[in-house]
Amino acid sequence: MRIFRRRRTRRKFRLTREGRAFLFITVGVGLAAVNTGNNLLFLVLGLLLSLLLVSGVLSDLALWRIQIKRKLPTRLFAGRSSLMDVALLNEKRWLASLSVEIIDEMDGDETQSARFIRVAPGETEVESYRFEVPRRGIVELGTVRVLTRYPFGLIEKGYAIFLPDEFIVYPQLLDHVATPATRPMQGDAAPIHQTGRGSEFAGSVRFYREGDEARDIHWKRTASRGELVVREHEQDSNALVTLTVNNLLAVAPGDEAAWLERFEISISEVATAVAAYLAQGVSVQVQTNDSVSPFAAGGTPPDPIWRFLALLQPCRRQAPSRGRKRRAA
Amino acid sequence: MRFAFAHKLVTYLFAGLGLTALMLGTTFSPIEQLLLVGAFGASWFAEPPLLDRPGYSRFWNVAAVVILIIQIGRAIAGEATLTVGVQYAAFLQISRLSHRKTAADYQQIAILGFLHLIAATVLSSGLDYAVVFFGFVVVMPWMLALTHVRKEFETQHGVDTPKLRGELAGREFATPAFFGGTTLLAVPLFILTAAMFLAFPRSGFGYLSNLGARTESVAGFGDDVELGGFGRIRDDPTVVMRVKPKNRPNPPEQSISVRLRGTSFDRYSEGRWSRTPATGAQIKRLQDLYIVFGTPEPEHQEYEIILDPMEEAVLFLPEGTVALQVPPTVRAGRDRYRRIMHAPGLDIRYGGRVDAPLTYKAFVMPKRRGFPEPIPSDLREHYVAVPAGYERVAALAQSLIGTASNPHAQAQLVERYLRVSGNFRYTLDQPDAEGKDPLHVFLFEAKAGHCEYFSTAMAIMMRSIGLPARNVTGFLGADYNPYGDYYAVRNGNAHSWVEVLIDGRWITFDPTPASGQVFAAPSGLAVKLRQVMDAMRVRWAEYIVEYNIRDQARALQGLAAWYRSLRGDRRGANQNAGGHSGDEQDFGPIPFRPDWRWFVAIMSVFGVGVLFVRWSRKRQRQTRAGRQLDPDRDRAVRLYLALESSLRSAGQARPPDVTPTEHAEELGRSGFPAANEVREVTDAYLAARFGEDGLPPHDYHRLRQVSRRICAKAKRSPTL
Repeated sequence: MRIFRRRRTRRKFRLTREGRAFLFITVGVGLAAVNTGNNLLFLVLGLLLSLLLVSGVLSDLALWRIQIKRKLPTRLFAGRSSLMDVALLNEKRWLASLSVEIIDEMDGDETQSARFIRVAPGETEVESYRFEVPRRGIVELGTVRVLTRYPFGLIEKGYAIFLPDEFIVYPQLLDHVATPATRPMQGDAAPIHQTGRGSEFAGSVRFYREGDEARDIHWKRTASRGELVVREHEQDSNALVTLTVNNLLAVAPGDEAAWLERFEISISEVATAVAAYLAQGVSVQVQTNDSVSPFAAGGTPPDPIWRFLALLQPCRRQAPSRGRKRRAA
Repeated sequence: MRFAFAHKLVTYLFAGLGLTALMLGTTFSPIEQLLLVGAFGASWFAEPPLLDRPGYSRFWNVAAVVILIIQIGRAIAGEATLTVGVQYAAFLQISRLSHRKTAADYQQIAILGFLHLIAATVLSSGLDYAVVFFGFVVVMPWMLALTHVRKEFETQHGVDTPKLRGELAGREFATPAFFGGTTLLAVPLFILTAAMFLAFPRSGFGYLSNLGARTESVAGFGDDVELGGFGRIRDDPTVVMRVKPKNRPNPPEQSISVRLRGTSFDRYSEGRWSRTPATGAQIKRLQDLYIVFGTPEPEHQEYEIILDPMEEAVLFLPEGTVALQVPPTVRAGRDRYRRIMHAPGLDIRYGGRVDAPLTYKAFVMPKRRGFPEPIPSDLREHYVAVPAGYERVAALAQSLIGTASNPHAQAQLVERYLRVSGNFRYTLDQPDAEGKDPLHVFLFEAKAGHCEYFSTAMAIMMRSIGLPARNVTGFLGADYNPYGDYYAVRNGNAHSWVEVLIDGRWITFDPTPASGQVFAAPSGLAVKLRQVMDAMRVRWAEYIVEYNIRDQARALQGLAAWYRSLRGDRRGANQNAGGHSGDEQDFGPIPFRPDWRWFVAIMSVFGVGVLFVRWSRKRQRQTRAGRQLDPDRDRAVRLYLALESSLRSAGQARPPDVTPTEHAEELGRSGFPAANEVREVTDAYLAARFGEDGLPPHDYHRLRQVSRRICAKAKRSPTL
């Protein structure tokens, strides 16, 4: 455990491929100069070494007084390629920061790089890198490496800055999953009138929430209020679906891998079905062997349930459950 | 300027400098140079879609292989390896320029250009190399930076993509600011290069150091010279030699009539003078002093001569030279003395290669006319030989001397006849001999010619009356160069005269009329420019090309002496207080001695600078706020800027999108040890800046102290 963790490491440098070739030529010229005593070769040697020195100083200037910030995507799904935005603020007053490369650390692995060719003084530029997380769950972001090869591409200089963060990766969505028809609830369980994803406009509006569909934006009201406003629909189905995921790991130790594979597939199926049901206006809840997801009313975004599924882990002991997969009341 | 155009332009500048460096030597004939320049220019127009044709790149690759084979064949056939190598290097650059597409191609062009610069160090050491080198210092940062950016573009967008084309067509990168900034890089580059150049220890062995400097071809100092072949260079302004007389008057004369003797010729036949080949003897040497006729004395006049490399390794000596001082070359840290050979006819030549102008000193005995050089017995008859068919010339000589019996008087009579009688005039036009003997045409028909005709006529006439005589070639006269503080001897100063052996001494006679001996000092802007260039050439050779370990040691001694003189100065002050005097005179003059006035001046400049920066920052704050702040708000802004500075030092800088209050709260939540102090300062700032509260000076100073403590407190308290 690191008790004292520097927020920013010292600057380090290494020679690039071009830099190694340059150094090779420099050493060759140096040997030739020392052997021959030709003063013009000494002059050339001085120029080569000066270029290396100046290159080192200028690359420091490119990294001087810059700030890095990530902007996480709103939704991330396992197995699907996404873009991570990285903002670079150049706080220098006169000098542009040129040729800066940002390499992120995601669960201990380096990501692709985001490249900033030129960031003017006092300006912020946003670039992005593409990444793909293979599994659902929490992903940790750690150290960001800030590199530059400016000005001549001979030296790569950089430092690492510790910018801890984390985000939740939702389960992988399948292209298609069967969603059997539902029927209204009976008796005491019959729902009261509620809004949801139906065909009829209920006449009311509310502020936009993350996950709302763009087609529901009420543009006139949005324009009059200055904020995004969406229509609320009358729920034409008062059905509730409870989907069940069996997360009880009750298999022999050698079969765990196969079980886990099936478990992940079932989670993907349920996540896909949740989206489908909610889009149809059907309320959804997910039941597992040891927990229950938040209730999601039909027509609302599926994020609470996806978040629940993203963090769902297998359990070893069965908890009291009512569960039956896809039980419609 | 569009990026692609700027990069192309800079690439051609860079490659052009490299090719120019290659052409500085003598490896390219004029036709080859013309071809090279043509191909270089044509390659500029090689652009897509031509570059994208499938066979285009293949053509250049095949051509590279074919020409390589041809060059290897030429080398095997006996052509100089260096020549074929340099020619192939030039071809490779043309080839690369002709199919440049990606950043990798531009990188190769840069590498080739640089290799050309390195190769040129063995091809040339003149001022032209200096010009090319400084061109490289300026253009190289442009070239490397633009090539690097192009590579970044390609890495980001891929090769030959619309996005890349968009970037290359953009104008936001290759701006005047970019070129201005990278041009300024030349200053530190130049200073660092100079510092390293001076500091590298010189311990080279001198092998393959240089293929020799480009030599100047001057007729008249080889084994033979044709009558008429020497006089046509009178208008050539090329400087071949510089002379620095010691104890010259101040202000210096614009011209001096120093006579610098080169070589002499003992045989004349059919209009051609020649010298009997002889190895000669090595001149006796005492360290770097070469004794020609005697050791230098204090009353001897001293001339320092800087001689450009010539095809003939002749040492030019002022009349009356008794000894020479030729500094040794330094190799592997050791002095290597030159061999100086003395052949009959006072033909003095140096051995070894010259990479740069050769500097030596001549010690001249004043007031003594002629020098005693005995004639070897086997050569005696050469000096009195008159070719057949010159009876008329002999008769003329007899008629001129009349009854005079003194050899000196006889020589003077002949000299006066040719020089001042008015029968002959000086002209650079060649007499039209029409197949006849040129000397007869000169003496009896044209009665006009240049110095060679006059000296030949006198030498033959002297011989015809039995006096040993020889034709001498050298230089007469030199013009003052105020920029280099020396007298420059031009090719046009080449001259020819006669030496007659009288009473065992070779006495100089110059039968050329005065109009052929007086050289008007040139003037005009072009001449001044030439003088500046020549002075620079001399300094380049002196301080760069010939810089050696001895100079390094001298520079170090100078530095050490300067340092000791400073310490000695302080001691001296103490000693003076005690009634003793210092011994600083041991170290020569002190170039720089700081005293209290320097200190006050430096501190004043520093103080003014600090005040200016503070004023400038205040103005900026006010500008940022958009109005003139009242004192309380101004203090509040300064206070919060100080707080932000402390937080940055503590690694807790406020992100730009977070308000001061949010940041203070966030620090409190994260357990930052000085969160309370941050909160206190932030509240005070907000209250004064945006509320109605004031921030009196004593509160401001107290809160400044608080904000200063933040950094220390944060560092003392480690966080998990």
